[in-house]
Amino acid sequence: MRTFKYGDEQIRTRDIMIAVPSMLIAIGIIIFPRELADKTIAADGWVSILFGGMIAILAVWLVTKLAASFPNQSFLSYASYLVTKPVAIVITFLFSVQGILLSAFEVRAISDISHQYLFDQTPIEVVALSFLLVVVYAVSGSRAGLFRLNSMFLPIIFLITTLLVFFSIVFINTDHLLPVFKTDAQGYVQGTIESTISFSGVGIGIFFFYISLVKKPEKAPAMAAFGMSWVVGLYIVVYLTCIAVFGENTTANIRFPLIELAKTIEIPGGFFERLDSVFFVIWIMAIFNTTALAFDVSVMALNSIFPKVDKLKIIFVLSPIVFFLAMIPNTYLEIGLFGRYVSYFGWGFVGVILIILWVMFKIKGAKQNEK
Amino acid sequence: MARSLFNRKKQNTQASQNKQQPQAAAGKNITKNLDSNLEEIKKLLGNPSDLVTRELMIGGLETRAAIIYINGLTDKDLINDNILKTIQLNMKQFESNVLEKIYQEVIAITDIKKSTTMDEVSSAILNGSTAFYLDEMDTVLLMGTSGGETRSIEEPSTESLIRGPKDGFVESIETNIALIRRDIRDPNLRFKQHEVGKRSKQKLVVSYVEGIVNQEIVDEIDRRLKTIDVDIVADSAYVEQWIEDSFLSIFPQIANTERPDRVSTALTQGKVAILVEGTPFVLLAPTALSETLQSMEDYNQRWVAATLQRTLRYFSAFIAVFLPGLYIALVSYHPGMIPSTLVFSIAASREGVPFPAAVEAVLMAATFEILHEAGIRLPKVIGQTVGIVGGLVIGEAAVSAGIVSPIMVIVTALTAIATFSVPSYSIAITFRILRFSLMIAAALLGLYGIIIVYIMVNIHLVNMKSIGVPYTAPFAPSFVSDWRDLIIRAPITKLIQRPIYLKPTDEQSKDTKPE
Amino acid sequence: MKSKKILLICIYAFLSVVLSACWDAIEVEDKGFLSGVAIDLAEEQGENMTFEMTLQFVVPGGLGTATEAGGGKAFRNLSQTGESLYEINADIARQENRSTNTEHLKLILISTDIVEQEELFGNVINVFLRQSDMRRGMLLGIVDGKAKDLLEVEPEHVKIPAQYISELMENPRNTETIEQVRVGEIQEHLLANASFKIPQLAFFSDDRVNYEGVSIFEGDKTKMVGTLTGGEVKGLNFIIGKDQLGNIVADIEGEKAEFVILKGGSKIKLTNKNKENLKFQVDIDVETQLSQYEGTLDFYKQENLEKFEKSIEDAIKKMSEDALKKVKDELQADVLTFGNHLRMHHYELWEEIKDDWDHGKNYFSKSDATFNVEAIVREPGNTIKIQTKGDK
Repeated sequence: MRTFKYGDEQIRTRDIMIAVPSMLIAIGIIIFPRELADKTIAADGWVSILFGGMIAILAVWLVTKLAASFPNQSFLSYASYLVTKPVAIVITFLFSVQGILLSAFEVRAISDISHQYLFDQTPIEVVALSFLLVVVYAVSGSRAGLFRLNSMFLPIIFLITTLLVFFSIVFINTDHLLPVFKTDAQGYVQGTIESTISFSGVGIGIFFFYISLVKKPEKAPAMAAFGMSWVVGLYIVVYLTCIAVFGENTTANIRFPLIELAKTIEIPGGFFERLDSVFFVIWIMAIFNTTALAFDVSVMALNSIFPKVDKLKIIFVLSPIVFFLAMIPNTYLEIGLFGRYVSYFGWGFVGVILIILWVMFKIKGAKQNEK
Repeated sequence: MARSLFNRKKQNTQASQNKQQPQAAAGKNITKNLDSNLEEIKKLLGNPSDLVTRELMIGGLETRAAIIYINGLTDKDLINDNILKTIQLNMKQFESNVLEKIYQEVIAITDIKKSTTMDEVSSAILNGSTAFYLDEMDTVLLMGTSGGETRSIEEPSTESLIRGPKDGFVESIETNIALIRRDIRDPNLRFKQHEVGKRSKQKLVVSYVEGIVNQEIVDEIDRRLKTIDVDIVADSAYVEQWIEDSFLSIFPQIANTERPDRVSTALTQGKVAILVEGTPFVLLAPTALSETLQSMEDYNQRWVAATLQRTLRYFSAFIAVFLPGLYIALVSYHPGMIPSTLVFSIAASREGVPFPAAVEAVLMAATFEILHEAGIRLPKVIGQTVGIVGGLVIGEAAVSAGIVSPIMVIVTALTAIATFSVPSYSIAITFRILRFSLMIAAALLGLYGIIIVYIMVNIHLVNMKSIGVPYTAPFAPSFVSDWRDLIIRAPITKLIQRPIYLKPTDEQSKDTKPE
Repeated sequence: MKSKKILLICIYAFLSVVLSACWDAIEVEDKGFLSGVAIDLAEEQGENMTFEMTLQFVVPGGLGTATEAGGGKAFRNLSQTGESLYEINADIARQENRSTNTEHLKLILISTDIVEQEELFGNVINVFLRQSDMRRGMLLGIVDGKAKDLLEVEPEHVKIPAQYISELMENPRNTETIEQVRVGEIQEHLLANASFKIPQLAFFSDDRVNYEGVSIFEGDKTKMVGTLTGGEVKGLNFIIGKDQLGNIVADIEGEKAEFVILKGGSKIKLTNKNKENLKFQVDIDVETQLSQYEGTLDFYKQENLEKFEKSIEDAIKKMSEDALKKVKDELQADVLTFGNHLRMHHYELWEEIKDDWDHGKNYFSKSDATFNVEAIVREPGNTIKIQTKGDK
């Protein structure tokens, strides 16, 4: 059927700008204030976020820049050019594994947090399965549709965060923000590492793949970096609010500081007296975005290795794997460990690949363009 | 899924094109014998009682002639004054080449043409033309005399405005085209004629403004219209359902209107209008979800008022879809979110209600739907009775009988009012379906269920298209410049661009460039 | 068609999972909403510490609606004794026909008997902080005597005692009270081992509860060390610079005058950094309005106005010094936010001494503070004079 061509499977650079925060805002920011507050004094953590953010922005820029140097080429094809085909296939496969792990973690985390804040009796399998099915539904649709979903959900996520921060103003105790700059260098370094992992552990690697869908990717690196700066801004605002409301000690001892912040707020005269359930439920959209993109990238990576296999088949092979991976951890400690491994893997892996590819790129140049 | 549907349609068309019309007389030419000609045409049409045959002798020549028309489809005054009378008065002068002379000089009707085939003659007669047969000639004159009883132009009953033009489309396609022509005097305004209905042979006109519209949209619509294979198109809804992108979706993918001003505005924005003979409802395509919450009134009020009205409509759409679901979720799953005083009073009012909130809500919502359905097709007088029975008896009685809680009545009523404030009836139906699915989801999984359904609906929406144009435009894909006419209706002077999501050929609607 | 089959499988999977659902749905009228908790020590003590916990459930039917008043009591109290709060809770659940819902719990009352014992307070509070469906905004009150009795108080205008008490604590229009204390804030203090204060209430009569004063908790051992009442609380509030609403009574040339405080604040400064003898200077600024004065001074004269202001300053200074003396010397628990000031503005010094601040070597009790009060009378009220007694 020949329909009106809307450039369907192609996305615009603006979509990349929206996809970056959609991918990066997920579970991380809910837990992150706790980990950072542990390492820094009073509100000093924002410096770490800023540094970590700058590293992440640079990383995102490097990823998109490299991918944009090979416009309209799939990752596999330009990676084959840079590091020979077998290596490229291994890398692509690892990306797919990372995507699966990440989706599994997000699915598990969402079921776990909903158990904390929404349900008592409902089995986590049900929560996880219903979420996963929705993700599968989204991934089975068009890829451009995923990016449209991002741009539908992202404003809502920013809006609810803004509301949260706005309503917490009443509960802010400025004493908590002082003293400033008393953290020692070690604390800053640890905090920076912490925030870098939180930023890029989630998988900026996906943009190796998605840039190939952008028609004119020249502007994509700048747009992606700009999108990343939103994330950094959001992290800083959320962190400062958590510290200002709870103080560093309490923040470091709350399991999900961001949701607890929502719980603290009582809107006088509002229809909702407590925001925590609403907030978490809306946050599900953010987590959904991340999971869907991660899943989609696994599918895309596998599809590029096995171009003849139907996309739907890959999805239906992968989804049980994701589900069972998600169900493996038993206790909160194991989930935490799972999350750690996923983000270390994501971070280390993307970092190494980024360095290798860039070195090869500098050596070989973007010759393939001329072909 | 949509794709498979289309394949099916394609095959159907090919099949139908191969079939030939069964009638015996079809394809025949006119003979030179008047009697046999009349016999043939009567046979072809089945000698209906409303077929009028008037035979006459033409003056000095003593040549036999006849006019044939169908009573009721034609304007009798026109036939009497401009055909019969003029022929009878003038005929004596002619000696030779009578038909040509009559064609050229006598008949005082502008719409006249010659024909030589039975097919053409019969379909012209069925369209309200008058055929003039002359003995010993194999050519027939067809005179456009269509008329008869039609409804006059009235204010559309389904889309009334406080301020704005008061005319509405009627069943006559010629009048409808004229109404659009009166609004747009651009020579680029195009009316492309199709014929639909295997039996009904209705006119269908695709209208657009060349130079604004994206030609690919027109071509796509043409292609889809050609696949239509039905006996009769009783309303443009048949066409709508045939050419829409996804028949599985609950969302309306093509807009319809009775208002010429709305059609004209849409045409100048780069859309395509589809007019069907016999119905005042004109289709507008492509359409987007956001447009279902817009009304023509928005442009007739000043921009602040219009913006506030639109915001209100978005809010009421939210209530119409979510409120009962939220009520169930909050009452059955998350009472902690409701302010303490309210939750205690809800609990107090629900004490003694035998059903869980979900059953209660479904019960009330279903009652409302039944009332709504009952009221729609009743005469106005009885309709009021339904209102009283529904509102007073069921509402009051259900509460005092302890079947539902008073707060549920409020929720239902609020939802009902919110549903009615949605300007498009077709999207209101969608909202009602969504409401029920959200209620079920909320009953099963509380707020989590609601958000899961919400995400699913969004996934469905972003994958949906209206004639190839993304249905969620201009939200996503986001066309920021289109946002000035979305929830905010910017001042008219600022609306200088045509909607970009339609990819119009000519983007500027005003000469001033945007800064 | 393949995709159709897959869709069907998805739908079946989803339905089969979901049709057995509704695990968590409990209708609102089947929930027992907890509005207040009181914790006492049981009268008969076993081997281990035995608590008595009283739960106050709301009876929605008794509340009535906006149009018709409800009949009967709007609450129901259930008490049990046991060795841990969980155990008691389980016991109570056996007597309650509805499932307990803590999401609307707003008040926790703890008897002084419990908080005067070391560490017990922390254990009790722990339960309330760990539960994710409880609010962080639950108010805390310490009860002099039996906490349980307060939940039996039935005021005429409010149907639920817990609501009455929490409204009482939320209303800080008196210098002798402090801002309400939320459970969430207590976590902060407990984590920092800092001393803190909680409002103290007592049973007054069958329809009234009295706001006694402020219980002071020592941070290290988390136990209550004493109570501030009346002027001491005022003094405390003046030093901290918060909650200074209310009245001051001052003495002007032998005649009483009463002032309403419009606005107040304080600033703490460290003047001597010797940790063995820290010296603080507290600048207190107060703006007042004359509310009652039966004397004869014409306060439209500058020198008389200064007399007024001087009298307020003296009164405030006196109260502050009393409070300081009691807190520093007697209770030795820093609730004056001096430690917080050090943390915010002299972080290095604070790091050095924070482990011995108001315990151990107790630098706090070795410190000293001076007060510098600046008061102005901004408005004289409506009338200048109501009686003529001979002007001066």
